[in-house]
Order: sequence, then structure tokens, then C-alpha cells
Amino acid sequence: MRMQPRISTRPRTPEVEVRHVRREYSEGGKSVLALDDLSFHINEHEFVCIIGPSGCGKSTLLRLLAGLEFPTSGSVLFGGRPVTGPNPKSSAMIFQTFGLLPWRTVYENIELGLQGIAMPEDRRKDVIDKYIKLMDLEDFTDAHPAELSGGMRQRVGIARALAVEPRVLLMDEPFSMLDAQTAEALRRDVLDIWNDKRMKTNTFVMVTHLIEESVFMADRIIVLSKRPGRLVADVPVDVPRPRAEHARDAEFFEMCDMLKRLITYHGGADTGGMGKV
Amino acid sequence: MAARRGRNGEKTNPKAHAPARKTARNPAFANQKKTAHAIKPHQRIEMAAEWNARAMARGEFEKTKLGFDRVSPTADLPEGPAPLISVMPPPNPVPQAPIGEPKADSAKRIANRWFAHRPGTLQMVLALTVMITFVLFTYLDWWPAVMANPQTTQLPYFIFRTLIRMLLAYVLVVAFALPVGIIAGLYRRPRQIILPLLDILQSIPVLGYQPAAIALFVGMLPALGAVQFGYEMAAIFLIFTGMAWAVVFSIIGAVRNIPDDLRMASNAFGIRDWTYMRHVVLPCILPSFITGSILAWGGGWYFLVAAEMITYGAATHSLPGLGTYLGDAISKQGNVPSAVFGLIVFVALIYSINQMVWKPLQVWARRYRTQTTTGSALGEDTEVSHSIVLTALRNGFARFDARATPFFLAWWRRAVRARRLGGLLTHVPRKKRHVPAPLYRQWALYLIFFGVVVMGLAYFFSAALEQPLIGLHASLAAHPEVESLPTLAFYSWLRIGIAYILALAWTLCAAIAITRSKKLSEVFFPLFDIGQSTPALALFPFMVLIVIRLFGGGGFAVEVVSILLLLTGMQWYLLFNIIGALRQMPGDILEASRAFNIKGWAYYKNILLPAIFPGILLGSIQAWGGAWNASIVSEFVTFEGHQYSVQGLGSFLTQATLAPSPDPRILALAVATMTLVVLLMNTLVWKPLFAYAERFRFHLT
Repeated sequence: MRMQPRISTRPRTPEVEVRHVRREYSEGGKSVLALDDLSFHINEHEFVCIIGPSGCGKSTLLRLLAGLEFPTSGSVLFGGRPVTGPNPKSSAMIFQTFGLLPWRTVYENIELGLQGIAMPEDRRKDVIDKYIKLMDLEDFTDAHPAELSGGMRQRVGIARALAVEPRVLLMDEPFSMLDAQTAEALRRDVLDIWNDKRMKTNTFVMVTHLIEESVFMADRIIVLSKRPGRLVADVPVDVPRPRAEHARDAEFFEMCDMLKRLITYHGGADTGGMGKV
Repeated sequence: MAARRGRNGEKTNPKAHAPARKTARNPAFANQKKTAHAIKPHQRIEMAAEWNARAMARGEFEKTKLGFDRVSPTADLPEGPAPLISVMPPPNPVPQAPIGEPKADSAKRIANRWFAHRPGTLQMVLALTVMITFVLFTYLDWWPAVMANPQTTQLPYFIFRTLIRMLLAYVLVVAFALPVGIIAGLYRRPRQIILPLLDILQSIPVLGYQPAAIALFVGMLPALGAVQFGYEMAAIFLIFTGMAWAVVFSIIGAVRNIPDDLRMASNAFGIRDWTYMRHVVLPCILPSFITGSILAWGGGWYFLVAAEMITYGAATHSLPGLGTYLGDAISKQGNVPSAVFGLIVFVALIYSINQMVWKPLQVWARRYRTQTTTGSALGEDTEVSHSIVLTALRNGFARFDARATPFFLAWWRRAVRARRLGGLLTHVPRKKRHVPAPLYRQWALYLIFFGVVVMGLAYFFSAALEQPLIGLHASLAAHPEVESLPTLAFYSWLRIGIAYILALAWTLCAAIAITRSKKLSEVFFPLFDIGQSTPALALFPFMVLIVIRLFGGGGFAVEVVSILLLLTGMQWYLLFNIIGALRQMPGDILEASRAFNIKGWAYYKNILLPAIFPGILLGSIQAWGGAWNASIVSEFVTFEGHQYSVQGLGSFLTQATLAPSPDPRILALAVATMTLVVLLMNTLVWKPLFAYAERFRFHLT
């Protein structure tokens, strides 16, 4: 079954807009420019991946979107309104190292997000149970993170982020700490969640360093250059969905190759003689 | 190929049944013979070069700087609907911040760095101290009083003697703690015996060892004809008992925490015995050993005054040293300006040692860290991340080291080869979970060791005081106040509890405030450093002075004094442990709490306090240990001829020691009671809490 990419064709306010964002870190006398004049937008229902060579500022960009950091100049807008701080109803984040509290059970870790949005306690149980069931964690409701495998911990992280029902889900290299098979299973689950019409969260932004992963997951891929990160390319991925069925197509690998060359050309590990061209 | 004969005897062609090749042969190899060994290696290389050249001529490859072939970036973009690509030209290289350490320095660069360093470090603090002291003393006209003290001119010599004493005690500590700690860490049976023994030994208040030390060294050494040396040894022994336990426990902990993969790799590569000890165990325990040593020296400074002015019965014997200078100035002469001067010198000395010895050592030991922590967002270890002294030493001594090292290494190797540890360490022991001995055996060990130690102390007490050992009944009859020992213990415990709550309250607030703000951290950290360097014992007289002037000499004032004194003994342990725990909080937890909008009290209750609970616990254990030691001196204070005391175990012990004819059995009973209370607290409170705190630890995957 071939599913159309869910890109809205009506002109509307983009869900996330990044306008001429510049992020500079100054410590003492030294200043490091992490992101330089970045502008792009993300529409509703889109799955966008941000890739680039290591150190290019992808994670910084994600934290700017999340409101955990602020740009030195330029603005980040959510639904037209500038971001003034972390707002769980706008954007929730999933972390590379999971970010779970070791002394809380799975249930209580998911509850942490609901505590942040001050949901009344009588409503919490239903919401938490719903997301535990969604992420297949029913057998582990009372387990502590130390008792769980990496994949389960990330599921808890995903459940916690989804439970607050944000408009945008931000993911910072969510599968990089997992083994290959768990990561594959989780990728499929994340895509299923994204496709699910009942979910309120349908705009996903993911940072990754794996090109194949980005082509597998995304509608659009934003490629950053090496530090200071600038927008190199903003590529729609034309591989038809469901990607699992088309992951062996020539289009898929051509897309991967092209992205690889783009990244190498704009500052990967081995620039070699490329810089001279 | 020989022709094969088929079933019917005719010659068959084996190749007739072979399927046709699916892939075409490479035309470059078309002229070659079929067997591989017919092509010589140099011919292969030529063939490959020719093939490459043809591919390059077709324009498909290009050469990189290193000579590798690579697909050109402008070749074959995918066909189809043109993607929205904006391909930028490569930007001009942006000058990056220099990575890594700058190259070897000229003198000018070293000087620049010394002067460019921010204020608050050693030279600024010392310079400020000298200036402030000079100005203050001149203004208050204290110099005559300072000079009137006959010992002032001998101060440099006193400092020298004190340092030698501390150094000797430390060398003994290391000689004792390294073997004992390593063996206890590696082997289970010795550990089951050593740990209870160490537990009891460390529960005995340090000043409880004093009479035993005197008896042992002074009583027995005159036979060898060296009385002064006996007192010296007694002082060194006392400092030793103040230092040893911190070091040995840190070594045991570090040995138990040697990473498993390191251990197994060593075993697999045949690294055993002394090589394993020297190349794996010793480096792994180095960071913890240095931390333990810093704690140990802190403990040593703490007891310096008591160690150098040896008091028992009515006699006091003073050894030349900084502690004597202080104690003499306060109690004998009542010379306050001189005492303040001595205190300033004392604190400056300790602070300088901290900065010039311990901080560089800590920085150097970072390379041996085996624990990798996830990045902490609450401020890096700025005060140990670099040390000018270390950098200067490194650069300055680099040349010396290059010449001296081979010589020392050769000597060491010869020494090691000549003396293998006779089969004691014959393999890399397997690390099993620490299975504590069965409960009955633990109880038995504790009882036996407790009895032995107390009897030993009683024996030495009686030897020191030249009184018979037996005769407990008579002693008990003569000293009916012994009945109140449990009550007194309770009062002391209550006092320490109050001081603990006060200390915890202020250190929690201070630690949290400091780690949140970099500016506050830069201002207060040096201050706390100096505060920690100041041994509280040396401050006691001043505190007594101030409080009694404020509150009068009544009972309430004395309680305030003793609680204050206890507080100063406890707070630094708590403060630095809490700051350490705050610094180690993983960054992702902090980001998650910010991203999910957990703020204010909810943040403290749900995230911060549970995360630092193990640190608070460790600090509390150390604080209470310090408090029991402090209680001996803080509950009974002699000042300006008056004696101020409160009801408590420490005051009982001190009064029993200072009585005109001390009774060794009563002394032993008092020491035993305090030891028992500490042991009970360990077993009933700290150990269960420690087990509970496991769930709060961040297990780093």
C-alpha cells in the first residue's frame, strides 16, 4: 500500500519557523559560533530530520526549538508565536541518554511530564495507562529504569513525551544508544505513531547522524554544514511510504548517496582535496 | 588436469557439466593464465594501475589529496523531479579556537598565564592575607604582643617540625593503608575480618587513643633511653590514627570498583601478580587514594593542637610545633594577638599545601579516572580542571624527568624483580559480589574485636597512668557517676543531632546557591576552601571568647558554644559532599526537567534532593564521625582560667582525663561507651540508609 507523504498543500502558518537564527557561545574572551543564519520552516504533519557532520550544531538547533536555549539573534516561532522558554504543550523532547529518573518507576517517570503541565491527579492515571499501552510497557509499569533494557527505557522516554500531548515532538538522536535491532523496531513504532490519526502530536523533528535513518524516517531532510552550522540543503524525500517496504529501492540508496556526498562536501571528516574545488 | 574416467571407462570432460558464467570476465585480465600463481605480485600491481588509469580516463574517479580514489561529487545526481537543493559553495575556513594544550612555554608565556589568571587563586589569596594581616595588626597595635611571645621567633622552626611530623605520620598511614586496603579489597576472607576491625578502630574517638599512645611510646621507650622521642612518636601516632581510616576505606572502595572489563582483560593477557598490582590496581585506585589523603590530612590538621600538647593527668608536655604555638598562646599566656597571628599562619600554611600539593595531584590524577560520568550541566569542576602549579611543574620538570626517569625505572625494576611477594598475589582474583559473612560470624567478630580493643586500650591506659589494670569493682564504687554514662551519651547524641540539622540546613542552601551561579561560585569557593582548611579545633578558643562575651557564662551560653563547635566540625564534610553530588548530576536529567517544565518546589522535591541523597548521606556519615571526635573537646573547654562544660559523654571523658589521678578503668569505660554509640549508629542508621540510597544512584550505561 502506498501512502502519500503527509505534506499539507494549503498555505498556512508553519508549525515551526526558524528565522535567521544565529547562536554564539562566548566564554571569557573566546566566542564560538555554533549556528550561522539558519532559516527554515516546518509544517504541520511533517516528519523532518536534521543531519550534518558531527559538531555542526544539530543538537544546539534542537535545543533552540525546545526553548532550552535562546538564539543570539534571529527568532524561533511556534505557530507564529516566539519561543520564550520550554513549553511542554508546544514541544516535548526525547533524549539520547533517555533522561529517566532512576528512583522512579516507569509509571512515575511518565507522570513527571504530567506534573510539569499540572494535570489534575485524577486524570493522570488514564492518560498514563493509555500511553503505557501504546508503547507496549504494560508488563513493566512498576519497574525501575535500572531493570529495563535500553530499548524499553527509550520507550518510557517516548511515552513521557507523548503523554503531555505536545504539538511538536523533538527527538535528539533517540536511537543512537540502542542496538541495531531494537533501534529498527523503535523506528517502525515511531513512524506508526506519527501516522496515527488519533494522536494529537503529528509533527516530528529528529536529529540524527545516520543518513540511512533520516531517509527511512523523514519527509524532509535538513542538512547542516560543519561548524558554524549553516543550511546546506533542504531536501524532500521522495521515497514512497511505507519506507520499510521501499528501503531496498534504488531511490533510497541514491538519496543516501547524495546526502553522504553533500555532507562530505560541506565538512565531513575527510574533506581531503574537496575544499579546493 | 588429468582426464577422468567415467563409469563406463570413457574419458569425460569435467567442464562439460559446468554452468555458463553469469558475469563477464574482466577484460583486463583476459590475457592471463587461469592459475593464480602464474601472475606475479608486481604484475598484479601493474594490472591494477592500468585498470585504474582507464577508469580515470573515463572520468569516473578522481584523486584525493592522499591519493585515494573517490566518486566526484558532481557525478550522477538522481534523475527525476529535481529536489529542492541549494548546494552551497564550501565556506572559507573559519578560524577555529585552538584545540588541545598550547605548546611548550617560554618563560614569558608562563608569566603571562600567571598574571592573566583570575583572582582567587593561591597567590592572590596569600598576598591579600599578608596585606590584611599587616594592616590589621598595625592598626590594632598587636605587634608588640605578638613579639612578646617568646615562641614567635621560633615559628619557622615550629612549622618545619609540624610538617615533618605530619609527613611522617602520612608515610606510616600509606605504608599501613596500601597493603591492608588492597588485600581487603581483593580477597573476601580477609575483608570479612578486616572490615569489622577497621569499623571498630575508626569508631574510637581519636583522642581516646592518646593515653594509649603515651603509654606505648613514652612508657616503653625510656627503656631505650629516648624520652623526647617517645613523645614525638606519641604525637605521630595520634596523627596517624586521625588520618588512617579515611585513606584505608577509600582504598578498599576503589579496589572494589576496578572495572570488570579491565580486570578480565588483564587476566586474559597474562598480567598477574606484581605487574597487575603496579600497572592496573595502583593506577585505578590513585584518584580515590588522593581524595582519601586530602580528607586524611584535613583530619590530621584538626587534631594537631591536641597531638602536640600532650595532656594527661596534670602534666602537659609540649612538642615544638605550630599546634603548640597556638595552644600555648591561648591557654598558657592568654595572648590573643599572638594566637590570632598563629591562626593566620596556620590557615595560610594549610591553604598553601592544599593549592600547591593536593590540587595539582588531583588534576594529575584525572587521567586515571575509570568512571566516565555523563556530562554534568551544573558547572564543571573548574577549580580542579587546571592548576597553574601543575602546568608550571610539568613544563619545568619535563627536562629533569626525561633524564631521571630511566634511572629510577631501572632501579625500580631491579627492586621488583628481586622481591616478588612470595606467592601471596599469585593470580588476578575473580571479583565476586561482596558476600558478607554469616550474621553470627559478624556478631562474633565484632564482639571479639571490640573486647580486644577495649582491653588493649585499658591496658595501655593503666600503663600510662601507672595504675593496676584489674579492680573494676573498686573503680565503679569510687566513681558512681559512671551510672550516668548512658544518659550522658544520649545528651551528647542530642547535641550532635541539633548541630547536624543546623549544618545540613545551611550547607544545602549554600551548595545549591553556589552551583547555580557561576559568579557566586567564583567568590565563595575560595572562601569555603579556606574555611575548610581552618581546623575547627584551633578556632575553639576564639569562638568561646565571642560567645561568652555575648551570652555571659551561663549554661545556655556553654551549650551554644558546644553546638557551634560541633557545627564547625561537621559542616565542611556536608558542604563538599553535597557540592560534589550536585556537580555529578547527569545533564540529560536536568534538561528533561527543564523541558517538561518542572520548576520550583516540585523540582527540588522530585529531582534535585533525591539525586543528591547519596552525597548527603556520605557527607552525613563523615560529619557524624567528625562530630564525635569534636564532642570530646567541645563539651569541656578551659578558657582564661575558667572551665566551661556541659553534660555529655565528651565532657565526661575530658574530665576523667584531666582529673588529678585518672582512673584507667573509668577511662576505658568512657571510651568504650562512645565507641559503642558510634557502632550502634553505624549499624542501625547509616548502613540501612546506605542500602536505601542505592536506588538513587545514577547507573551509567
